[in-house]
Formats: sequence, structure tokens, C-alpha cells
Amino acid sequence: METDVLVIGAGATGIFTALDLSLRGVKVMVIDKNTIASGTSGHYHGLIHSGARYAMTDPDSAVECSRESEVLFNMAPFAMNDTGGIFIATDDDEKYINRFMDSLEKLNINHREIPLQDIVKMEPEINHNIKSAVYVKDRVADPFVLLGGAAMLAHEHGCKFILNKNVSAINENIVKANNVDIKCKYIINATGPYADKIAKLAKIDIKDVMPTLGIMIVYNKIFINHVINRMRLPSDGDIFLPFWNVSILGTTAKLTEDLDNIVIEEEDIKDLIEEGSAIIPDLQNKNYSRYYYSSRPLIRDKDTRKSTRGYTIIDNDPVITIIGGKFTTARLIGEKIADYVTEKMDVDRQSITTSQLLPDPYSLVSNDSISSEKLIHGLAVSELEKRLLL
Amino acid sequence: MTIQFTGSFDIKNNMEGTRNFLLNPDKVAPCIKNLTDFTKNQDGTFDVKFKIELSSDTDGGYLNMINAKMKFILKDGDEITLSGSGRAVGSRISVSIIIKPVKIDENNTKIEWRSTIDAGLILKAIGNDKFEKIANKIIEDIISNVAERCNL
Repeated sequence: METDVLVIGAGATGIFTALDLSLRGVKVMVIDKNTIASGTSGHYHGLIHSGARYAMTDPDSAVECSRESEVLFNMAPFAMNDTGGIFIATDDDEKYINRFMDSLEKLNINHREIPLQDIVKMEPEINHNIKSAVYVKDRVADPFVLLGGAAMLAHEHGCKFILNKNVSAINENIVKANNVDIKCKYIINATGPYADKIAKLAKIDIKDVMPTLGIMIVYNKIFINHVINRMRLPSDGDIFLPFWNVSILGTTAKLTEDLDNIVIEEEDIKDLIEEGSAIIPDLQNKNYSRYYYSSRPLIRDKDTRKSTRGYTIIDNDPVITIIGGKFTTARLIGEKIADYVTEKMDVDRQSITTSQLLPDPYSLVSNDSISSEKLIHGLAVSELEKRLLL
Repeated sequence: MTIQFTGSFDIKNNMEGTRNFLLNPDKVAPCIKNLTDFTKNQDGTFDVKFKIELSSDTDGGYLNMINAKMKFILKDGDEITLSGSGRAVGSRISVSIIIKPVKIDENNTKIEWRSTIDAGLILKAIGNDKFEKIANKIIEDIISNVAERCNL
């Protein structure tokens, strides 16, 4: 098999890079050891940030999130739930109120203060002993629907998909996956927390990936109408969101060394619920149905060793490794990577992803007679795979 | 891998007053900056929960503020030993602080201290330099609070 660009990893970064390149007329192939959005991207909490969460700590990211949330909503409104979000300041968060408000104003992030007496009606279950509440334009996305749609559009524009195949070797411009050899000009390593392992196959040593686990707890009931955030520096257990018919409490930053042997301890869950109780006081008395985690590909900055949710392009021609990034800005990161690759390829075509309307992968399934959402999702994954592998 | 810190500072209090302060969990625990919870246990140990700011405000890091949970025990002797262990960001951490109060005069006491910290994966994740900066800041804050509260 032969292509111009081979993207390894069918998560948010890989899919949006493949979409951007396909729309510019570049011959692209995507390979993944599982399926679309089966790794970190498919296991995150689903929050599409308004930008407010990063307003105090990372103004550039905040502005990008604010802009990209609108772009994604226009591209795939069916993949989103336009819930809106509320930032609440508990007693512990009071010191951040002025800073938070000033940052939102300065960055022009859409927001409005909510009179505290209105919170009781808007969100009866949340902590009402709060000092401030601010409405922002947070949204919730179904990562499979969004990325499935992006993959379908990429496929319509010539992108080929090789799914459920493990990359086992990289020799110069040839990538080996099971018994298939793929010859390409460039290899985009978009495998998130596994980026160092894939790079190693090409004898490239990447030490910058610092995987941390984000644990999420799922409740089979909707307690809230909006995404509820704590008004403080990003920390554990400060996001609670309504994900269609369930509620998700997130998240943590749990350092890990071995991604293949992850143990979630009882204490991790206990600590997360304890933190979440500042948002929903009665949380300790509610039964959760399950928990899950995703591995974040955080970067260890070589100079300051800080961890950041930005992204880095490491070019070891022909292997280009992407580390970091967040789901909300994945389309933008895909555009930047495509800019980088097309410049190397002398392809003079600009990104047009922002003007696209993505197809809905659920349209591949006739769900009139199916009542189980799990079954519909399973069928959609299977039908999507069939479509992409054609 | 462990990191060691040492230092000394003066207290405007006599030897007995200083020792009584340092051996009292009710007085020592609140000296930890960003303390969110403090519980004394029947076995003489005490539990603390506190927050640590890993990144400066402009870092843009995800791990801006982490939670730490630790159990401490104070042991009396010529030197006072404060030992603790716990966890933060899923990593085990342990701390041992040995404090030696030395009489300067009737109203002043010098505190000589040395501390050993094993920060496990946190050290690996953020590196020695950054960890030392953060640990130094935590220690400075504790010292400043102890000095302020213990001074007569």
C-alpha cells in the first residue's frame, strides 16, 4: 500500500489532521490498533470548553477554546449538547472570584453573573452555599459522534482507514502493521500517551510524554442541567457534567508510569467523590454506576519541566510526532499539523475544515426498532468501520 | 529518590514555649499553607489535607493545583521528629522533619531543622529543580507561620 501521509492514531488529533489534509487534496491514510475514538479521545468526559477554565492560567488556550467551541458546534451540532456551564465559587474558591472575572473580561469570553438566588431554581442539587456563580458557554460533545463524522468526511475526500491493526515496525518510510506494508512520505505519530512507544519503533527517543490518568465517575442519573465547574485553578474533581442521560464527575491527574498496567485504587474514587461533594453536597450518598479513565498525554517541558495541555510537534523526518493537546482544540491542532506537513510537501492549499458540516455516524444505523442506546452505539461503530474500510 | 533540605530560624520564645508549640498538632498543622482538613486520631497521629500549587499562575499547566493527604506523627526527644506519609496525584509521598530547638537566651530559641522528602512519581514528573522550588516554598511558608505563631 502507498500514501503520501500515514496518520497513526484515530483519536481527535489524528482524525482532524487526516480530515484537514484530505480536504487539501493530500493522499492520507489513518491506521489505529482499535477503532475511531477508542483511546483517550473516546474516554474523556465530553466537555467542550468555553475557555473559562483556562482563563486564569492559560489565556491563549482559553481564547482558542472559546473560538473552537463555536467552530465545532457549527461543524457538528448533532454531536453536541448546548448545555451551557456554570462556574461556582465555594468558600475555598472565594479568593479567585475577582481574578476569574477579570480574566474573562480581558479575554472577551462570553459570560454573565448569575444572581445567587437564581441558582436554586437553575440547579437544585448543587451547593447553594456559594459566593459567586457565572454562566459561560460550555458544551458537551459525544466524542464518537464528532470524530466519527470527521472520519466519514475525510473518507469522502479520499482518506483511507486501516482499523484494528497494530503498527509493529517503522523502517524509514515503510510502516508495517500485521502483514501489511504501507509506504508513505510522512508518518504522523498521533498516538497520544503512546507516542513514545510508536516513536521507539522508528528508533526515536521521546522523553517528553508524561501520562497522567483522568478518572471519571458515571452516575446513571441527571443531577444537573449545566456543566458545573469550580472557580479555581484547575484541580481534581472540579467538573460535573450532564452527558445526555447520565452525569459524569471528573477528573483527576494521577501520575502513572506503565500505561499497560493501570490500577485505579479505591482511594482514587473516594478522593474524587469527596472533591465532587463541594459541587453536589449529597454526592457521597448517591450510587455511581461505573468509573473509567483516560490517559492524558501531558508534556514534560524540557526547560521548566512544567506540564502543559498545549501541544508540541517533534519532527524526526519522516516521522512527525504530536504530543499533547486538548479535545476542544483538536481541530485547530489538526489544522496546524496539516499546515506544517503541506509546507514540507510544497502543497499550497489552505485549511477549509471550519466551513464543513460533518455527517452524522448515527445516520448509518436505522434505530427505529432498537431501544438500547448501547446497541445503537455498537451498531454505529460497526457500520462506521464498514463504511471507512470500503 | 529523596531530597534533603536543612535550615534554621529563630523564635522569640523561650525553649519550653517553643517545644510546647512544636509538639502540639493543633498548633503545628495550621502552619501548613492551603490546609483544607485536619483531624487528630486516637493513636496520636494526625491527618492533614492540603493543596499544593505546582505551577505558577502563568504556567498554563494542567496540574496547577494538586491535593495532598498525609498522616503525621510527632515524636518527642532531644530532637522533635515529625514523620508523615501519604499521597498526592496518585503518588506515594513521605516526609521526615527533625527539629532541634537550641536555647539562645531566656527569651529566644533557635530552631535547627533537617528534612527528607520522598516524592515518588511527582519528582520524576516535574523534575528536581521544579520540585526543589516547590518544596522550598512550602517549607518557607511553614517556617514563616511557625515563627509568627510561636513568637511571644
